[in-house]
Amino acid sequence: MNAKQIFHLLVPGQPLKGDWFPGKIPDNIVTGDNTMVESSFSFKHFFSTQPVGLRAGNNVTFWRTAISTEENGQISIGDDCYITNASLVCAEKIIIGNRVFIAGGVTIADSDFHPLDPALRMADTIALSPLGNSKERPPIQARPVVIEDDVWIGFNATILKGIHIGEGAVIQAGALVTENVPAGTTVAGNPARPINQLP
Amino acid sequence: MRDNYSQTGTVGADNRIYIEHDWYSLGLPSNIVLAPSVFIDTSYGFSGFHSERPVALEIGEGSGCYDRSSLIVSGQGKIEVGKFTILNGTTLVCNDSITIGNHCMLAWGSVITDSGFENSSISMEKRRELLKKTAADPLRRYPFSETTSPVILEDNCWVGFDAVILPGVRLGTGCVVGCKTVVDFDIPPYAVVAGSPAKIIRFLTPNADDKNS
Repeated sequence: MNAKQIFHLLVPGQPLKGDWFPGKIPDNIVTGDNTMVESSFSFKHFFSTQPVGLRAGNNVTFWRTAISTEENGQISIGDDCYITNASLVCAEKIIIGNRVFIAGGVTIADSDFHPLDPALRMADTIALSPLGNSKERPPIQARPVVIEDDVWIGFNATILKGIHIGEGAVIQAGALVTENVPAGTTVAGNPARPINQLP
Repeated sequence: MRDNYSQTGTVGADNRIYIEHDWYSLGLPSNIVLAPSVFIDTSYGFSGFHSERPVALEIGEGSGCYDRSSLIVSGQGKIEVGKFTILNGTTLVCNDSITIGNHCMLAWGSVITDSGFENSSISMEKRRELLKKTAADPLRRYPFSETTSPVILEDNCWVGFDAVILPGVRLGTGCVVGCKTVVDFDIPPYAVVAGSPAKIIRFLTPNADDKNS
């Protein structure tokens, strides 16, 4: 009665039929079978100029996910992942394994996207301004994020740059992950701390 | 007074309700009962509304679903919202029952869930099975785990931005949940809860007309 098809197969360079957003699906992506996306809005901030800016395996679902990359960004996602209303924000590299579940409101970022130094930050505001030239932005640091197979990430959790999350780990809702998470561990809180070890 | 769905909405041939000037074309499901003054910003927030109950959502007078408030409701889910309650970019995830009272305020990014969406107690096999089922469904409806428990927000609650209210929780009258707080236990009336992990940090003066306090 209320079931309406809102998903489309994700095919490189191909527009989505009936898309509510007038965007396009980038050419420089590689997708497996039965991988679906809701709207090209997911790629609004996809600026990767790499040969493959996004690699997604089979049976992946992107629902309201922001797949945002800078020019050098490369995001890789395995098979059978479900990613909803999350922001993947990538300056260089985010690697996600198979069967990873990412709930709403999650942010995964491999960079802070601005320098820490106050003078450089000031220069950044000028380069980013309507009067500036984004080519003159000061360099930023990026450290890859790696999320292994079977990881579950709860609502509104945040994964910061350089983080490695081991196989089968669970990130509880609202956790702010600032340190590596060993395989099979559940973490929660800000900063995230282990709350139990799965057998 | 704001334009609202009842002034500008029309019922389509499919019985769905179409809001005039809605940027999203899906429309609202037919099995909902909204008071005439209810405001709905867009039907986009209803694209995950799959409840098959005859009446799966009721919203009282003067309440509104503003911005990208999302109601993600599966087969038997039922949501009730009272009067003069503000859902401002909130996500409700419902497989069982979510009841929200009168005069509540729910901020952007907050999540109210009655379902064990990312419950760490479910086995790896179960998690894999849930993902496999989702990928096999062309509508990509995530099958909720069996670990559901109704959530109740009493009157006059205030839930801050990015807060998460987990299954089984009851928020007492007049309480305040600070931004980004994850609540996994019942909050007594007029308490202020904040932090991560969540802690009750103070109590507010009860409403003068509250006979229970």
